[in-house]
Amino acid sequence: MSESLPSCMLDLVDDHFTIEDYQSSVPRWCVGCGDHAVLTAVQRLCRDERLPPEKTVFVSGIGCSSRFPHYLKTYGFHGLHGRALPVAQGIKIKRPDLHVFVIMGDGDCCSIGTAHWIHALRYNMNMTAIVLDNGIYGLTKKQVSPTSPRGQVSNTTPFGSHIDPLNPIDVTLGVGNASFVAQAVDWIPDLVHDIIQAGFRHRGFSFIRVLQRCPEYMAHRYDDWVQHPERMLLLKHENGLEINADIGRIYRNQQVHDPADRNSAREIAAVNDPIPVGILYRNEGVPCYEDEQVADVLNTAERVKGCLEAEFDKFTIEPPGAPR
Amino acid sequence: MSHGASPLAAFHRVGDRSRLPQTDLPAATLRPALFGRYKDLDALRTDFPLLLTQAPGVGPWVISLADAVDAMLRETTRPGAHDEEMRRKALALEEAVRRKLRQGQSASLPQSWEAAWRELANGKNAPPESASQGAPAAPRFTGELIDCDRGTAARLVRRAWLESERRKGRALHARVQRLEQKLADILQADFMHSGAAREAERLEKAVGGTDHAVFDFDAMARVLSSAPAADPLPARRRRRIEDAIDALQSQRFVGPDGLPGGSGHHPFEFDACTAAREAFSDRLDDMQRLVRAIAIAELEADNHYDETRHDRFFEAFDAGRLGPGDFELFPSYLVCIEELDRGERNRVLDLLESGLPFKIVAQSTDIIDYLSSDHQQASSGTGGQNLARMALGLDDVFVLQAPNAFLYRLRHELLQAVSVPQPALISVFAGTDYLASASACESRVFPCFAFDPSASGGMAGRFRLTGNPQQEQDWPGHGLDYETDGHDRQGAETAFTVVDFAAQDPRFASRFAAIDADADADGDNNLVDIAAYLQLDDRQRARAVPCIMLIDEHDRLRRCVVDDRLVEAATRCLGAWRNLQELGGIGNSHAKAALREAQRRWDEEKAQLSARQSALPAAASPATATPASVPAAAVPSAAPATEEPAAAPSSDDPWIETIRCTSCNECKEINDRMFAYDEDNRAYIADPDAGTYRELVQAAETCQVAIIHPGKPRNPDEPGLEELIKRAEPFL
Repeated sequence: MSESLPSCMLDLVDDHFTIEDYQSSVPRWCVGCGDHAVLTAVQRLCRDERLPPEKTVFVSGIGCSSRFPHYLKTYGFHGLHGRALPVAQGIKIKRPDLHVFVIMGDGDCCSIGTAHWIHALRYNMNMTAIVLDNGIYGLTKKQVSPTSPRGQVSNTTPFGSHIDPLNPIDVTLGVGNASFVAQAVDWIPDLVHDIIQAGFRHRGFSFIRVLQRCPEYMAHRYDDWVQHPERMLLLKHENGLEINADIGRIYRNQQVHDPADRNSAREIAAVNDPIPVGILYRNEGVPCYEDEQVADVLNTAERVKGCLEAEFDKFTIEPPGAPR
Repeated sequence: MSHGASPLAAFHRVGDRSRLPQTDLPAATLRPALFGRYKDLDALRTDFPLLLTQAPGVGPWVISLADAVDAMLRETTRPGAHDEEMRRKALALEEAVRRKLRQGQSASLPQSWEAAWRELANGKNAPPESASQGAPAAPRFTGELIDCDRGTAARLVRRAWLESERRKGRALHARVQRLEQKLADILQADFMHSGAAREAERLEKAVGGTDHAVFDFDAMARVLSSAPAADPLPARRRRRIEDAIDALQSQRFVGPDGLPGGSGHHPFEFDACTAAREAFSDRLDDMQRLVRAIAIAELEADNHYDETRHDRFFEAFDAGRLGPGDFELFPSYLVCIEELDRGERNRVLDLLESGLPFKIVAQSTDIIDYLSSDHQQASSGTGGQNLARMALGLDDVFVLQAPNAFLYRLRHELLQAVSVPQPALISVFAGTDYLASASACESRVFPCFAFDPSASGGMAGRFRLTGNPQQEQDWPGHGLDYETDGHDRQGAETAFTVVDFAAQDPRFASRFAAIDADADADGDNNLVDIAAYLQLDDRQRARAVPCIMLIDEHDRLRRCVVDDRLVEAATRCLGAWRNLQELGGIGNSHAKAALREAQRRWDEEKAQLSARQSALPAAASPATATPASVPAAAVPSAAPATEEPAAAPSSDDPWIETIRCTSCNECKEINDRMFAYDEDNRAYIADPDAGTYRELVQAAETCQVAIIHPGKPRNPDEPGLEELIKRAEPFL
């Protein structure tokens, strides 16, 4: 038996791209911002996965990180605060052939967009959602966000915030339909790339939280972890992330964690120090909403016209005395 | 030889009936004693009848009547005494429906439910108009009711097959439609760019009727025609697209409902292997044409078709290039064999061996026919139990074996069998009725199992011994309560074996000798239950006579001596069952051998330690001599030696830990000739001499992740070096 035809076709259509093919204007983020590392990782991913720019969409909400689509030479949608996910879902249901990425900040996803976040997990549509979590509202010059640490002094909490932060990974693992949950940190860029790649290859809704430094308003929050690699906990498994030798030499604190084990994932997610990095949970068995909602008939021009006619007919005005 | 033995032993060993005590009963009228409690099957809530629901894809595809009634009762009644009457009525109706179906009155569920209610209500002399009052709600499932008979397996599998094919067929049909539309769009776009599209008549149609009077379409056509028309589609491309559209439109594999075999389409259901094989071969060209058209259409739709590369590929593309991935697009072929014989068995194996998507239901109605032959033959019959085991050896075939009575409880496996891309064999035994079918599994003659070649986790993940009663045991044991002649209650534990299964069949009556219950009252004959007899060694067997418990038509308990041929059959059946148990992880002989070996090494180690201990001075503490607690476990290999860090460049030269770079641009902002990005956008030192040592130190200080190491100054004449070297120290 020969190989199947679709796989032959893949070889024949060889699209090779370079990072430059995905670069748009020079990013206007602050020098030293963690967003740069994620952008580079995503551009590397697009190149490595040979994503045709015209078949790729980045959707974002509002915030520093949400400027992301501007810096990629693909399709993009810089939308409303907290509403990146519904826009992305609309794109996916209408154009399932597109690769959809969603970029959100911690305020965007975990505050105003929380309802969309939970339901996006439930719908499990095939897309990659990345939350760039710097723990502060940066674009509006320093207000607390849901993930700001307790005691954080900001313009809205001049005496320090009074409540513990929300842990987005913990929340995500609590939603029954969650199918891919991972955490990365911007200062290990190779793993940001590997984790987003695993998320992209996962069929379903991939939720990836990237902890990142804000050099302007949270300048030293992660210094201890950046300077002491032993305070990072790398999760590895044959079905999860494989740590290459170079990274392994620097980050020696590693733990074998099977991404199928949800309970263990919850235990790991609950720990803030050391910071866990890797794929916490993956379940390939959760069905995607778009697969369950295959339309019976094609939306051809004739069909659309027929439906419209039927709607208009409801408002037909008959001349007086005409038989009804 | 028989003269020295007792009459019962003589019958058992050589079949000599001449000296048997005369009984009033021929063995042909007896039944296994355990059947006593299943005299009226209609009153029992078994899996049957089954309801095959009507619309594929909506709700469960099959549900037993009992489950459907339970679901209805859960929805419409409240717990407690209030609705007790309604529950009793519903159960009575269920029984009536079951009874009518057994009498051959087939109907769909809502009708038979209603008919049964009318009959029950009329029986109480209720007026017809009030018949619907007080009736329990009908179960909310509608569909065809089927009983456990010889047609059950084919109908059940067909329904599962339709359930699975529908989704696949709809996906293929939608894909074909979408591609057709896309290709038509390309042709339409080409037409819109042509001169013909700009003619006055065409423009008039495009604008519509409302503003007809205010437009001069001739003038508009003249203006538009002055603009150069776009290049038309090259003739080769147009022909290619038209050919692809033609192939997509003329496909006869699936219709809009996704179900295979609609009118005007290829049939996919067959009753013999040869016909299915021929149909598959005949359609290869059609399949190749459609697969080719889909591939070309996908490429054209994305504007990726490159004639210099793809033409060659598609010219060489013939039916021989089709692979399993392509066949998955099409419906699978369902073959239902009502009565398996030896010739068909070989053809089934040939078909399965091809690896092509054939789903074969092979039904056997006689699995112990070999016992009826007078001469000894090597075969243990032509029954499907051997076919399923042979198919296991093919390794790439989904195999499911079960009697038809157990198919409902294995419905998930059944659906899986018809859904997987691999070929599947569903080997079914159909007895004369529900009890006969179920007892084939109970007696281990026809055990249930499923083998899924696509599952991971080795044999443990792929092979499932599932649905068999008490599958840890050799034979399933049951309590048997009976009344003695003195009206005392007696209880006994008895096993259900292949001999009990054979006792139902009048063909084998000559192999049983019924005796009076007190025939062995003094124990001279040493009558032993067959299950216990099989445990004996040859020497013990020589002194014992095997027997089983049967009941006559008045439910009176009788004992029957069985002949040697049946004992032989039971031995062989037990051997085959134990092999299956091992495959299913029960009593695995390799695991047992490993355990014995571990035990032996443990004992050896213990002996050595105690020998060493006795050689030690008496002061040595005995506690220190305890051997390792898990002797057989492999000693974990020593942790690998800590890897040495990669050799860092000499601290005299400046360097960057490129792998940790977060691409934040800080160093490049300081000097973009000294610092550059590699192909992954990570910084490295492109030219250490392209800037000053001051810049290097400044970059090291500002780097957010502190990965720049400035080394030693390269230019000894640079001003302020002393201060810079001090600042560089933390980064060396």
